[in-house]
Amino acid sequence: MKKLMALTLAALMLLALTACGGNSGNSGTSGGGSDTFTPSKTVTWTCTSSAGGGSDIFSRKISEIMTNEGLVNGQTIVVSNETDGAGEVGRNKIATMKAGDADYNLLTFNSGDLMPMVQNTKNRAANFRILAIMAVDKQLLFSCPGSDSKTDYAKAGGSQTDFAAAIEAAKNGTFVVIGGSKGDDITTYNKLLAEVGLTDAQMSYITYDSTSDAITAALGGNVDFVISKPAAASQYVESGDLTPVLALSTERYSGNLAGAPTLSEIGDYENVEVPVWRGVAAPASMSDAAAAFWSDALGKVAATDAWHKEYLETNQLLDQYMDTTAATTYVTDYEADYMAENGIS
Amino acid sequence: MENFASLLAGFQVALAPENIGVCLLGAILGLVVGAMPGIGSLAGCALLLPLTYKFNPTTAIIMLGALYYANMYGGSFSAILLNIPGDSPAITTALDGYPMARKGRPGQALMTANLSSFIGGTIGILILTVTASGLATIGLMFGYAEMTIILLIAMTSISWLIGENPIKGIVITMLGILVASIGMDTLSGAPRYEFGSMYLLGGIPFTPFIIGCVGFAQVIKLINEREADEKKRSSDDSRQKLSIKKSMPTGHDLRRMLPPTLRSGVMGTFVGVLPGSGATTGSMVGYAIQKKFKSEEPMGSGAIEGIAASEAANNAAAAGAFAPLLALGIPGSGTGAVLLGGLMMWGLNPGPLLFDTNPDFCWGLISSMYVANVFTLLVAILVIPFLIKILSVPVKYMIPIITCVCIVGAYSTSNSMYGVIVMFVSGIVGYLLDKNGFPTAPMLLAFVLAPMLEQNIRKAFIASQGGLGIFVDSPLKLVLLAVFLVLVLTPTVKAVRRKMGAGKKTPA
Amino acid sequence: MEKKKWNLRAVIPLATIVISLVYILVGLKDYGFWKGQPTPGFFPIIIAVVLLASSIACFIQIARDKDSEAVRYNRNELIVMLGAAGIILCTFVIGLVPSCLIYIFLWLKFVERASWKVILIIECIMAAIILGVFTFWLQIRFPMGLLLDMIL
Repeated sequence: MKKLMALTLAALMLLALTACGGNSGNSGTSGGGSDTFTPSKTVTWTCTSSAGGGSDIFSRKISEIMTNEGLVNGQTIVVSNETDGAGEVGRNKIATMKAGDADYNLLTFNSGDLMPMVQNTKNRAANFRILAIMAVDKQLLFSCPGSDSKTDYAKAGGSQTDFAAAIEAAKNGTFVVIGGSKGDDITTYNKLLAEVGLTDAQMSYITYDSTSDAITAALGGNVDFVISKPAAASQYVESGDLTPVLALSTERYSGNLAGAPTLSEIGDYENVEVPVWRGVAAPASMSDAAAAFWSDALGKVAATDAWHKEYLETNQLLDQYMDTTAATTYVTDYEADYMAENGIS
Repeated sequence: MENFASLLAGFQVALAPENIGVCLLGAILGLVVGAMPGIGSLAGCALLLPLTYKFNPTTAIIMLGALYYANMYGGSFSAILLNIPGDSPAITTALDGYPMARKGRPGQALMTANLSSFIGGTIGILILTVTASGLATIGLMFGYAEMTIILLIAMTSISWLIGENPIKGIVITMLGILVASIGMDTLSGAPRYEFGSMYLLGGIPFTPFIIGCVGFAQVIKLINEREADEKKRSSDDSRQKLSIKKSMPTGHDLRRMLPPTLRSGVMGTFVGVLPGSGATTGSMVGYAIQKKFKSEEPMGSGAIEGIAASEAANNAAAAGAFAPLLALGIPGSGTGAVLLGGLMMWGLNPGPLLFDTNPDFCWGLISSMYVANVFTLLVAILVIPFLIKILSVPVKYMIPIITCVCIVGAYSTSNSMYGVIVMFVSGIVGYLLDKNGFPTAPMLLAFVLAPMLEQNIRKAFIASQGGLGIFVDSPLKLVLLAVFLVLVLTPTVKAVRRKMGAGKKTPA
Repeated sequence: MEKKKWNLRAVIPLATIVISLVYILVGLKDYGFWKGQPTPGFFPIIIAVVLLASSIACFIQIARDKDSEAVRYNRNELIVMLGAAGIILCTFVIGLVPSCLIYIFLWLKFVERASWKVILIIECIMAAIILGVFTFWLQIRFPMGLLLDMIL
């Protein structure tokens, strides 16, 4: 009896082991020496933001298209949300991954990930293999003229549809508040501030956890202007709650955002534009064959109808696929600019 | 009346066979996920989201809505039975639920939690139906200063938990706040108190922290009850069998439960509507206010009123949180954000136009909440007798089981061993604190509320350029401030009076 | 003897005093308190000052109170902690799920001396929960440890 029990127990343990490793298929021998690479086991896609957010949707959409289009040799892609240390732990894990495993690990890597990483850790873009840039986004400044005014500028009767008037008012001592999300939006705000020659005591910035929080604050009249990407604000523009005030771009937008002038149109300033990119990276130790494979697969994804209809159009993003070579140059330049501006060496 | 006509149309959508099916499935899955410590509604919805892409949007959101809803019920199960809150809104449920289960009335405790969840939820949905989009605009009236005061009101609930030694209570509350301040400072985007560690950049993850502080600390204490439990078992072998009948609350229980449930239901709905507050703040405000009313047993010792107040409030808040989501496209909580992400994936554009452009979707969702609420209650009542069996498992077997559940749950929150280590360390700290007479509940509540409080205070100061006037410049703020002062001052005044009364007596 | 008793009990207030001092010093040095508006250090420093004051009060309270009994720690409690620590350490070698199952087996067999039947039932239930709910349904990938990484 005892033996039988022990045996069942052992079988159970074995089951646990196989279930654990069940996803991993047979072995990861391919890609090592040969010139071509085909995935032969489960691929892990690390996303350093929590499930349900923009980066998560981006990662899941690409892996869904890859699976549906049969780009990954019938293997599954598991998206793993690793949010520890504000994402730095997950990024560091990818950066330091050993060769072999490296071929089966992808990482969602956006401008919003790069900035805090460079600012707060020693990791740099060079510690990763940048596989592709999939899409680029830009921002606008919006306001909510109908809101119940709670700010100094609104109480003073300042025009909420004319940013030039707000710059004037701020120079003359009326306090103006801009709201926005973390990361990209702060960079844009700093550039804008420097360009129009104001200090943060004259035109202040309030950071929100997400763009939707910032828009909520604008609707409630808690901030005068809000920085947002077109997608997050478009519904509010359509319903007349938000008004586009300033295009943070080198040229005007089209459609219902066409009313917003660029900075050079409203005064003697240079246009301010901070591209917000979404990309895919991998461990630096990924083999060349694997990197070529993934870059190519991502290129195929970027050319599908599903990608254009279900991702780019829904989120109003610009289609700007760059392969691994172009993306690496692009990201390296972006990082160098960012570090120079923020005095990071 | 227009709303009711739309609602009826919505019911036609919600009562379609496939929608009833997914609603029931969502209710069952939600209960299971909610009862698992560490998963919580946020992760539950996020993980199920991809499964729903194949459905049409209305069916999908009905399933997720039911899941979200049922989660709130499920969270109370492990809180009451094992003293491990499955999710943060259940912390206040555990305060009275676990003592009540220990008093030999686990069935009534669970039933109270379910019934008050049901009633609270129904109140929330009714208010949502009647006011629909209007409710959301009320939420927008609340600026930083108002939110600061609301959070201070929620914080007063902490003072009620402190127990007989106020100094220890203050120490522990402050410790909770300091632990919460580790990590990124959202307002400046810079790391703070991370002491050079990459792991600490993101702060101490909340769920592993509560699993450790409450759950694992509980296991460490359980070992001492092992022998007592054995003796008890051998002495009364004819342990009464717990059936549905036996776990039904008595008429007297129901009468005790009703007033706090109704109060919390209404209040919870409005707290849920406020941007960024969510079910946790709801249940704490509900619990804090209940302290102001009479309860038959002291709160915290297994009072039905306490369970009812916190459960009704958190379910009502969960319903209320749908108002800004549907009417303005503003997520009231993390789970709301996931649902919002879902809406976008299905090609709907959440925002102020949703009620106009997709009325069948919006009303289908609202009416499905009625259906989900009923289903969840039924499913929950049916599983109660089985759940209570957990309590009849000898303590000695529970120790390794709960230890493993704590570890697996802590791992699942962020897919990393870091969560497990945080759970382990906070378990030991929680155990040491408890041994030395420091209550841990205030620390957990402070940990949740303090970051929100800090952000709102600082945003208020940025907007006012450092002036204090922003806290008193509107009637709404003055009313809220008055409520806060009444809550803070009554116990103080009472204490002073008692002292003065005592002072008069002693010299005589 | 008398002295030793309260020394042990004063460990927690002493620890919180140290913590609050660290927060105040690091806060003032690195994060600032007020610069036209509250800085990242503003809120934590205020809280740390309150913590410092209340910890000192708590320390004095404990030092004065010599009547109450010393806190007793039980050896069994340590075993629970060591058990959990064991799972964590084992995870790095043989993975999380097997560690948990082996731990349950060892605990029930050697600490509780449970019967084979009970052990088997509990193992089955736990395996069903961990594998069925967490691994297959929720798609959580538990770490496999060095050993399995090499085999697979």
